[in-house]
Amino acid sequence: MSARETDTARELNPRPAPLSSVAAVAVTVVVVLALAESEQVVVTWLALELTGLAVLCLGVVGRRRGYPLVGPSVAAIGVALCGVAVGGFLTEMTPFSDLLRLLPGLLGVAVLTAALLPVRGKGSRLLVKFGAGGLFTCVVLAGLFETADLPLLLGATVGSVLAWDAADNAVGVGTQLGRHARTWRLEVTHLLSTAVVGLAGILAVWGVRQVATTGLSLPAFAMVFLAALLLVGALRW
Amino acid sequence: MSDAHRTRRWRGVLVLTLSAAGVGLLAKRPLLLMVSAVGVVYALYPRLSTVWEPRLELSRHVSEANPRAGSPVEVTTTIRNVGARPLVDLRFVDGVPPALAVTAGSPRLGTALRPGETAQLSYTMVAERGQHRFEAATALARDPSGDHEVELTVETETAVDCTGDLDTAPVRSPMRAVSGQTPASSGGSGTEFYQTRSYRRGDPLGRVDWNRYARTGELTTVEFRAERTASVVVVVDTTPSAYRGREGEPHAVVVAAGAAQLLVRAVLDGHDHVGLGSLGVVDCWLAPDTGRQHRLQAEELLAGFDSRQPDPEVDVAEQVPTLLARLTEGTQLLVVSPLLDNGVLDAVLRLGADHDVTVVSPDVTASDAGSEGRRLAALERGSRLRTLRQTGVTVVDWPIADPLSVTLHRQREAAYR
Repeated sequence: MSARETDTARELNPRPAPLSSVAAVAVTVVVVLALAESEQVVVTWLALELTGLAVLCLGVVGRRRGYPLVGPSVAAIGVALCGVAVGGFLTEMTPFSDLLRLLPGLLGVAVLTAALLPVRGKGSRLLVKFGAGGLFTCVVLAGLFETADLPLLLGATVGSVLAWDAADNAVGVGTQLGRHARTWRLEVTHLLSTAVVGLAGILAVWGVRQVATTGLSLPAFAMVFLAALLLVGALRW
Repeated sequence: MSDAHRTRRWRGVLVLTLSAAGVGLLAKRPLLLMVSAVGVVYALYPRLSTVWEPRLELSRHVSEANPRAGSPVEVTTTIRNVGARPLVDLRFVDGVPPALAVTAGSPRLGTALRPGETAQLSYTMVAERGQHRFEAATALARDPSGDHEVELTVETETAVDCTGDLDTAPVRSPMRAVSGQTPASSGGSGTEFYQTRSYRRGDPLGRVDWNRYARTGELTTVEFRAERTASVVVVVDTTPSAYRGREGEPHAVVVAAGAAQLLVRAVLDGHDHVGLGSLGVVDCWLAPDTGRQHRLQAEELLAGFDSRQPDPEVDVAEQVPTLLARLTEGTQLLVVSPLLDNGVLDAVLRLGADHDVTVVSPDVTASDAGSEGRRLAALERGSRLRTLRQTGVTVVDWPIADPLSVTLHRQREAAYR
């Protein structure tokens, strides 16, 4: 065995970067709460789900820190709590439409957190995509059922992009630099620039909306949108 | 050296944007189209931001340039953005010498640097025997969106020399023990008395034994033992099998290169000529010579040994004729090899047929908690040592926990007894 392989101290420890991970989960939770308009049922079960995720986190860390039996048992309790939370939400959320539109968000929180809490390995980009995708589905359903107004919808959109970006960056930084490295500056810069771009997007859409007071018809708006897409295509390729 | 490439991490956003727009169109929800407009902005974002090749300046400070083996060395590396543009996303990995282990801190850093700004990282590594050079550091710069990426290497010469503590060992010149046993068998000019013979025309006047002439009237010339400069080639075993070592310790090539360094110094200190050769992955040849420049050249070559990776496609048997062709008659060979392979054994035997060969074998098989495999390796090595001794090759079995000089000293005392 070569020296390189036996060398444990140099090991990268490629866990997702903590700062971005926490930011991603926090943004996801805020977006779900905003879309649910802080309804009591959602708050309760989401709180239980988060507790379950925290317990899961504790268990995973415990296993890694040298509790090979206690760690997994605690983690199992955490998973069970999450299951109870989702089950409770499914039974108690009364209008079926609300249940349908908030469920992807609730699952998204769990999936995103699981992706960043690398039970084994270095975090999963695919799970991050699924988690953030669930959140975005939540946003689309809110738009479909017309339960949210424009600012909230735009904010939630930027929020889900931000959650994905932060989580994906956490995995990337973790893989390349590892957990021992000092990386907060890079993470903060990255998050801020994504947030600023989102804000610019919101302002642009909001501005266009304010200027077009006469109100475009849907076909007209669709044509404008198609034109914008073609422009993007021309720019990208 | 740099190459830019795109990560295309934002591709998924466009897909989601289009599906949201599709749902909006089908269900006649203008709000969803506006949501998609935000998505379009994000899809454009990576196109609008770019990354410039960073210009970095690196300086590295080592707390102890000549540490003792096993002692911690603190490294402080400072990176400075000497370009005109800010670096929003810079990932930096310092080029720690491959044989050294980092025990505290991290040689990696992720940061953002304004023009002229500096960032510092410090870590501790444990010194191992030998000369270790830092490799080029790797820097990765990304644009704010993370879509464009430039990788480059930054170099600054730093080395850690951990060979000094061996010079304080009891034997001043370990080489004498292994190469100084073949006195010249002819008279000539030297310092040690050899014989007297009758005067011949042309003998230097200073050599004439005038006392004897005064006593007996006979003209005789005193001859001294001729001193010849030995020519020694140190051969390091770098066959793939030698890239092994005990758990948590550097592999045998690192150990062997360190030992070779010491031997080269010792031979040069004895005013003999020394050369450098290798068997296996590393292809290295330095013809025997002497002098300070030569010594530096040899040390430079040896410092490059540990960073190579084992390449299984090596035929040692083919390298032996090449090596033999390079050796002049009477050249002694000092082979440093852990003897973990029969190929090396055969090579040494073939070399031994034409030249005086001494094998210095660092023992990397010994282990406290020996597994079956290790025990087997130790047995096989023992049998190779015996084979060599039976064919008349001097073998120095070196337990690497001891300094090499102590082992050589012990060996010499045993030989005199």
